[in-house]
Formats: sequence, structure tokens, C-alpha cells
Amino acid sequence: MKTEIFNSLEYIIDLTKNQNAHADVICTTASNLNLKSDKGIIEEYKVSSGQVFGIRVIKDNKVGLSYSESSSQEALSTMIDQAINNSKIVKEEQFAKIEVEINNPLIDESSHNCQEDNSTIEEKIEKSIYLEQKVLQKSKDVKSAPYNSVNESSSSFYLMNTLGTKCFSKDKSFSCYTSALIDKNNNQSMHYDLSIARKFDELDFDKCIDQSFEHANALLDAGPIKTGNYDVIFTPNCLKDLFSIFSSVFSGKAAMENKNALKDKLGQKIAHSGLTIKDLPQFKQAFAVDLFDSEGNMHQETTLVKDGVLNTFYHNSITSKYFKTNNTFNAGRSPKRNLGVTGTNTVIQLGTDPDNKLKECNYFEVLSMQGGHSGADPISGDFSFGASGYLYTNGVNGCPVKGITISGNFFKLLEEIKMIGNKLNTDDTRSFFAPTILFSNLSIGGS
Amino acid sequence: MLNLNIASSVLQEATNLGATFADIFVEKNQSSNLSILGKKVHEANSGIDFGIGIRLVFGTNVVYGYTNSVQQDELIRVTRLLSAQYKQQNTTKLTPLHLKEVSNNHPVNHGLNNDIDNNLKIDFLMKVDQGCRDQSSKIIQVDTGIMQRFQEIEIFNTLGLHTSDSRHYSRLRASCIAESNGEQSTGFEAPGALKGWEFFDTINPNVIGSTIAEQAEVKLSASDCPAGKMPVVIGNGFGGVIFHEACGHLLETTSVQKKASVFHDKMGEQIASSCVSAYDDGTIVNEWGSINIDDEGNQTQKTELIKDGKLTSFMVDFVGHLKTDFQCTGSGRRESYKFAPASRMRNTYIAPGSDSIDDMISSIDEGIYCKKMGGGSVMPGTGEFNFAANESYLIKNGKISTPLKSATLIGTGPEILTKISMISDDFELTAGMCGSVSGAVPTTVGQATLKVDEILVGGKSK
Repeated sequence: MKTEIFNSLEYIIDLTKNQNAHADVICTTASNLNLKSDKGIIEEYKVSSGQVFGIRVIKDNKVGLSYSESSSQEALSTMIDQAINNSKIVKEEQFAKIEVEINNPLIDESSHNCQEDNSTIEEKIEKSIYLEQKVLQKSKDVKSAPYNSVNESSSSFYLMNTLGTKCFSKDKSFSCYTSALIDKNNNQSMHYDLSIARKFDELDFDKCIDQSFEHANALLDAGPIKTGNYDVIFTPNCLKDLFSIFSSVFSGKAAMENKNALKDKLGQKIAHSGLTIKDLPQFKQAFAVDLFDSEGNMHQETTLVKDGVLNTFYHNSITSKYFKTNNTFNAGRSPKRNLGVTGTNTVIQLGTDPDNKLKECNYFEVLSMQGGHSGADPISGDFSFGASGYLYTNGVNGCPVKGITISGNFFKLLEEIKMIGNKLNTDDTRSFFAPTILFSNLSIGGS
Repeated sequence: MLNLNIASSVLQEATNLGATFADIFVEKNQSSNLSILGKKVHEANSGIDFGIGIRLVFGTNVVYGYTNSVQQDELIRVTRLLSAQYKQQNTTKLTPLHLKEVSNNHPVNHGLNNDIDNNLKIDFLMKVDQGCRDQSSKIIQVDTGIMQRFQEIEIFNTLGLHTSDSRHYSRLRASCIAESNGEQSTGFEAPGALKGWEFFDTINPNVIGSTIAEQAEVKLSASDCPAGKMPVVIGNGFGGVIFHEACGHLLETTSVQKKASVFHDKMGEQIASSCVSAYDDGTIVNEWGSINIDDEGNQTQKTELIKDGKLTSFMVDFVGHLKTDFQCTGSGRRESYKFAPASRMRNTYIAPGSDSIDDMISSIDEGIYCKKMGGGSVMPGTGEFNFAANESYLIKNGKISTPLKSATLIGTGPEILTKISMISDDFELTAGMCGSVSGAVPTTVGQATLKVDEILVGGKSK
């Protein structure tokens, strides 16, 4: 498979060179197994495999894009012609160049991202049914576990360019999730929980079952709190979601395209002085470590925010030249998309406030947020989400709350931090790491 | 697209392996995207997706797989892999495949297979850009694009069905950013249709440009939205997203069959205010969410969901039919061959009423008017929803007053349906994309302006 794909990439590169154009070509492959159970049996069983080739042609300083899911020579040849034709109608892009020239292929087959696993399909079926059945056994009030799944995913990434650069990486992972839908006295409540792992036997099925039930059960009779301003702590999953929604504020591409409100704030204070945010592609505690970016450059550590000051944006070769600054090697591209920028593992540096002291405060802990992307405007920074969670008074009596909205402005939120904890937490996907952060004075709409 | 003999062999193999039903979904999808950013042609992208999805049903259990190959060996291999856990044998002979012609109710002149010159597209987008900048000096960026898609599908199943269809989609994306005193805001419109380039002849690019500029400018001067429970008037067109999210998803057998919908046992019961009638209609000519046949090969239809507040039908796909006994409504849809079909919405709307908008506004002492809704989401099990309002205004003492920012509406589907008290006659449909278990599919939402007596509004508390 690997040789066949590199042969196809070489075929594409040769044809492109024959047309006096420069290009880089990406191919991604993916295969998945997905199981869902209902009423004690496997309700859905999905196996899939696929590939897609995507070319970025640069000819006469113009960029053209095209892709194909077929690897036939005819389809790949058509893809090149389409990309060259597309390049003819776009504006000249003075900074777009194929410039990464690596003599030796970059092959990333590290065991961190891809481990040998001998689990059988029977084991996965058994655990899929287990996920549903154990949730149902938690209480007679559990009506169903309507959303549950066991997944196995393998993927690979190939890159080749007209300067001879060749890159390859692969990834294999397992995941599972379940949900508990509780219905009692005309009140309904539901919660999900997820686990991911590199090996099937490392999945934490019982955590998913317990967390789904415990939070759904706790929130069953919950109601809104009084409308007002509250200090807020986001759980690691919610904090990761919040930063993901506003990730374009750290994008050099968005800044170059005049779509980033922080574009003129480099070197200026944009956050609380205790806040330092880094992008760490090789962070050992992370689920994935990335060796190279989508142009074939070796990844590096990047400090986005240092002591509250905006240090840099995510850059690729184009955005860094545009801003006359260093490339942070955060190029990101999928076969069907143009070159952009992307982060890897986000790590917020520890603060100095002991977690136990921080959690002695009065605060609302956000356990889940609804309507993330629709309720947020990355340009203005304004957001307003539906939320549920727990209200703590002096750190105790976590009173369950649902049916509320939480509103604020992301830029103000970064500034209005009361405390930063001294213990590192991670989200379920282990790509976002942060201490507990107490944000002050967010607006909650409730009763 | 797939040889008939190969399709028959695959379906025969599925039958031999004990599948009680099997179908093959073949898809070729050609796409083209062109965008303008800052008055320059920014990006041109095109490509072709091709793949085959195989679904096997054993009783009511579904197994699904897909491949990019049209080779018989590969398709048989996928079929055997899918059926491995069932290990049954059957000697039933396959029902012969018969071609069922599809009547095309959505005529198209200039689809991607008969496309127009790119310069016309560029001219159109430049006019949107100019219309936007002419409207307001506060506009600092305009980002517009034309998205076109030509989807060809072919379906074979063990009931002897062989059918095919073509779908042409065209959509405009127009957004802008306005800036004043260091604050920024956005405007956005994205009309679409099941049509070719001729769809753009029905749109005035200058008007679209000025509309998004107005949206962005209004928000620049907007005040913080009050928080708490209050009456809300929801504007027409995309205001229908509230019904789509809060109720529509709960009426799909995808959630009904799992009892993951609060409406699963409410057929025939009063679930909404008596002024509410609602439909999911896949037959509206050239409408964005319309289809000739669904992705299971069934003819689409207009489905009455709620009549005078009473639940009259769910949206039913093949597996939903097997699990609930409700008849198929031609609602089996999927994003692509990478997804098994599921019951999904098409053009979903609340029927217009006869109330006057002035009467709605004047009946409210303090509330908000959400002129333009944004996106939202729903938790199917509980019906809890969340919507953002892109453009909203305070209603004070029966009059529309200052613009507001960051308004969010939250509640539950069943609750809101019973609190709709007035519906006007300014009915409109608006295009959108709906993401769910079978991927993102084109859907239309719609309604006339309506009043909900009480919704929790998320904003900045006073």
C-alpha cells in the first residue's frame, strides 16, 4: 500500500513537472471500524477504507487546487489539469512557493502514535454491548444509552513535492463513548463520556459508564440558577472546546486575510499576566506527537502567549513571509483544502495558585456546553452558550445546574482571570493541557 | 456507474450470507469552489469524489461499509467482511434488478456538467463585494464564494430496485467584517438551491452585499442582550432553525426508534400549540433541501408532521420503518457514500398563520425580536436546544428598540412548541446544512415570523 501510494505521488509529481509547474501533493488514507449496540445486540457495524489525493499547484506565482479519490492514472492526470486550470483564474500570490527540500525521506512510524494491537473483533463487539448494558444496569430510571460506540481507526499521511521532499506518518487509535438518558417524573437528563487509547485494552469503558450515569443522574432534577454574574471554571473538555472555537485568533492566515481581531496586537498584552500558552508538537503526555507539518517542515515548539503578551501567531511559509517573521512550522493542509495553519498540542503553563485554594472559592463549574460554534463569533469574541454544571459555594456543595446560558467575550475572558492553578489537567483527547483557571464575572442567564 | 452484473453478484452474495436486505449506493460527486477575498480571486478548488457504500440488514441490525473500488472482487470482499459476525447461509435467489426511471422535478440549465465561464462567476462575486463596501465605510473585509456540486447516484437493492438520479447544487457564501473603535462584528448570508448557475440570476449581488454590511454595522452599535426568561419574536426564514433543531430532529425515526426522542410515543397527541402545523417537504421545485428520490431509492414526498398541534407523522427511513412499523416517507438521506442512510429532514417548516407582526410586537412589554437567527444544536434525548441570534433587537413597551448582541435562546423542543402563540404570514425558506448521524446534508428551514411566549435568553445580565 505504502509503495503503491508513493508510486502514485511520483507519477503526479512527474506529470506536474512536465507542465513546468511546482506542486506539493498530499495523500491521506483512513480505515475504520465502528460498532454501536442497542438492546444488547450490535445495531450498527461499519467498516470503511478510503483514500484521497490532493494537489497544490503553483504556476506563474498562482495557486490552483484539486483532489481525487481515485488513484487511476487517468483520474490523477485530470486532477493535475484541473489544478493548473484553477491556478489560471486566481490572483498572483507572491509568497506562495514550494520551498521545502529534504534529501532523506521523513518517515514517522513512532510507537507513540501507532502501536501493535491484537484485539479481536469479538472483543470489540463484547465491549460495545457492555457499554450499553452496564449503563442500563445503573438504575431503573436509565431509559436508554442511545449513543454509544466502539471505534478503531487507522490513518496515514503522505506528502511529496517537486523538490523531492517525501514525508510519511501513520496513526492508529481506539475510542469508545456511551451516554445515559435518564427519565424520571417527566424530567430528562443525558450525559456522554469518551475514552481514547492507542491500544484497545487501554480504553476505560467503566469511566465512560460511570461518568455518563453520574452526571446525567445528578443533573436530572437540576434547574437554572439566578441570572447574574458568576466566577466560572471550565472543565478541561469545555476549556478545550472554548479555545478550539476561538482558535482562529492565533492564526497567522486569518491575520493575513484581515479576519483576526488580534492581527495588530503582536507584542501587546492580550491576557492576564499569568497566562502563557504554548504549542508543543512533541509533548510526551499528549495522545499524538507530530514530527512534521503539511509542507514537510519539522515541527517545533511555539510560544503563542507569554506572560499575557501575544508573542506570535501560527505560521506557515506564506504567512511568515507576509509578516516578515519566523515560520513556526504550523502549516496545515488536508487533500481537499488549501494551505492553512494549525496547532498541535496546546499547553497552558501552570500558575501559582494551589488547586485546593482555588477550589475553595464560589464558582460555577461548566460541565457541558451546547451550541458551541453557533453561539460564538470569533471576530468579535462574543459568545453565548447553553450550559450545565455545578455551583460551588466556598468550594463545597456542588449544586447541579442546567437550563442556563453562559455569555461573555473571549478577549475579555483572557484578561479577567482571577486564579491559575498549579496542577496540569487534560481533556479527554489529550491534546489540550491546562491548569484549573478561575475566570471572573461571566454572565449567566437563568431564572 | 456500476456494472449491473457486478451489482447483482454483490447483492446475491449478501443474500447468500443471510442478509435479509442489502443495498448498494454508488456516488460520483464533482465539486467546484471559487472565492474572492479582498476584491481578488483568492482560491479556486475542484475535485471528484467517487465511492460505493454497501449496506446489509440482518433482521433490524445494520452493517455498513464502503470502498473507492468498482471491482467485483473488492465489493465481494467488503460484503463478506460485513457479514462475518452473522455467519448465516441462505440459498434464496436474488430478485432480478429492474431499472426504475426517476422523473426529474428539478430542472437545471447550467450545472457543473454544463458550466458557465468562470469570469461570470468572478464578476458576480465582485459585485457582492462592492455592494457590501458601498453600503458601509466600516467594512474592513469581504469574503465571498460560490460553491457548486454535481452529485450522481445509483442505487441497487435486494428488492429488485435499480435506479439513479442527478443533483445539482449551487450556493453563495457571503460574509464581511465591520470595524469601529477597535470593535469588530460580522455579517453573513448563504442562499442556495437545487439548481445550476441560473440560481445566481435570481439573486441581486449588490443587495446581498448591502445586506451583510447592514448586519455587521447594526451589531457594531448593539448593546448587551438582557438575560433571563422573556417573550421572543422570531423572524421568518432562518428563524425556522428553531423548529428544525428543537423538534425536527426529534421527529426523525433515527431518534424515535431508540426512544431517544421525547416524542417517540406521542403519535396523535397534542404536542404543540394549536396554531402550529408543520411539514417536511422534499418536493418543492429546485429548493435546496429537495430531492427526486431519497438515498435509499424511494420517491420523496411532502410529509405532514404536525397538524393543528397534533403529531401526525415521523420522518421514516427504511431501517426506521423496520424498527417502528411507520411507513417510509422518502426521508433516507446521507452526506455521501461514506455514510449509511438515516431518516433526515429535507425542507422543514412551520406553516404560515395570519397574525400581524405589529400585534406580536405590541403585545410585549419587555422581550426581544430575533430578526435573523444563527445556527444551533439539540440534544436528542432530552430535546434541549441552543440557538444563536445573529441580529436581534430589544422590545420595550410594545416597540422595537435598540439592537442587541450575543443573544442565545435555549430551552426544550416540547416546551417551546406549546408556547408558540402567534404566527404571521410572511413565510420564507432559507438554505442550510444539517449535520447528524449520516453526515451533513442540504436542508431548508422556514417559517413566518412567530411569537414564543417565553424562552430563556442568554446574554449579559443586568
